[in-house]
Amino acid sequence: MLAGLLYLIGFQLLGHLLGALLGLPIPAAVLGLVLLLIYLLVRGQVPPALADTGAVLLPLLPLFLIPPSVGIIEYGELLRRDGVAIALALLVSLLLTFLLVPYLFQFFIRLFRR
Amino acid sequence: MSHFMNWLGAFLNSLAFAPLFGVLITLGAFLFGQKLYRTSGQHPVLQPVIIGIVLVILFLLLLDVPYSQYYQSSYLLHAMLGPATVALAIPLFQNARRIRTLLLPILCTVTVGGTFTVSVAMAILWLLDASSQSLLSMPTKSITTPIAVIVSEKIGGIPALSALCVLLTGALGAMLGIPIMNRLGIKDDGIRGLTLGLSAHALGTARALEENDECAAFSALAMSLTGVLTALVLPFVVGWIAF
Repeated sequence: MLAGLLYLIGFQLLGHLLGALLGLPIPAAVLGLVLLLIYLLVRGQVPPALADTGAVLLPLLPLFLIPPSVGIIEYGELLRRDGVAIALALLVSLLLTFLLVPYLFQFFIRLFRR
Repeated sequence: MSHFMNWLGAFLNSLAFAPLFGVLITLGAFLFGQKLYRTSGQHPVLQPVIIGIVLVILFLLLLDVPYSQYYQSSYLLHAMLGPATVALAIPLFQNARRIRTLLLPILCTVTVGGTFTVSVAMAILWLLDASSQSLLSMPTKSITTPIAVIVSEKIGGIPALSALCVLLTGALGAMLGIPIMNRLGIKDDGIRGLTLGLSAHALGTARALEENDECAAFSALAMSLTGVLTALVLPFVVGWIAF
């Protein structure tokens, strides 16, 4: 568990370093994710210690999201102003995506099969 | 009696300012959410995280605890968001290896489909004259919540509003996705999974898992690719538009 945590924190800090060195606007954790993915692709397998930690932490991701999400209580006024527009934008874009993406995927599968 | 109520109020209020108080109520709310989710037969709208958020909000309002106070005393949980997000590389690696042969068409679909869904949502918000804060919180709407929160923070959106958009999208997508694709006559598990993951991230993947393994693997892969690609591209796009 702890060895795996070391991997994760280590890669996040590497992501932080990379972002700072190259002046990238991308979040450190996302860069860390990409770096870890490259490391796994090169290694060809997930180290057991990392797999163990992942199995513990990933199901807890929703828990870690509660504190930032609760912040919505500070934006009542914004929700009253834009709430309807936001709900409409979410619903319409979702419906159109369901109508487009299945055919888009079929199109790309055929395109690359040639 | 009123004396007791006064005492109780004072006691709870002093508790609210104790360190780690936020961790305590968040854990309690999440565990209760998990229990309700299981007993409801895993209804997508009753996700433990959604119940947890509602319960914590009610609790803070009831005890009159300011959000900044809760935020500080629950920071331990928030701090784990980064390492847990990095861990998303593990399922991404495993699913990418499993679906190797279709990786190129999947990447193209995710890129075009992801851009499409965000553009439509932004266009509607813009037409309805929404504020710039809302506009900046929208482009992360269909990616997995941890990445959405982290990216929203970076591009000047409101992370909490982004999380709300993501959860709403996920709940709607998990409910409507399969019925719509049934109506369209889309029966292929790969296509169904990819569409669910691209549009409704983790909640769509939870729904895909109820279909079968193949559907879930495509959904999980589409979800993580959409999240990572959005996180890599969006900060640059926002930077260009805002100069």
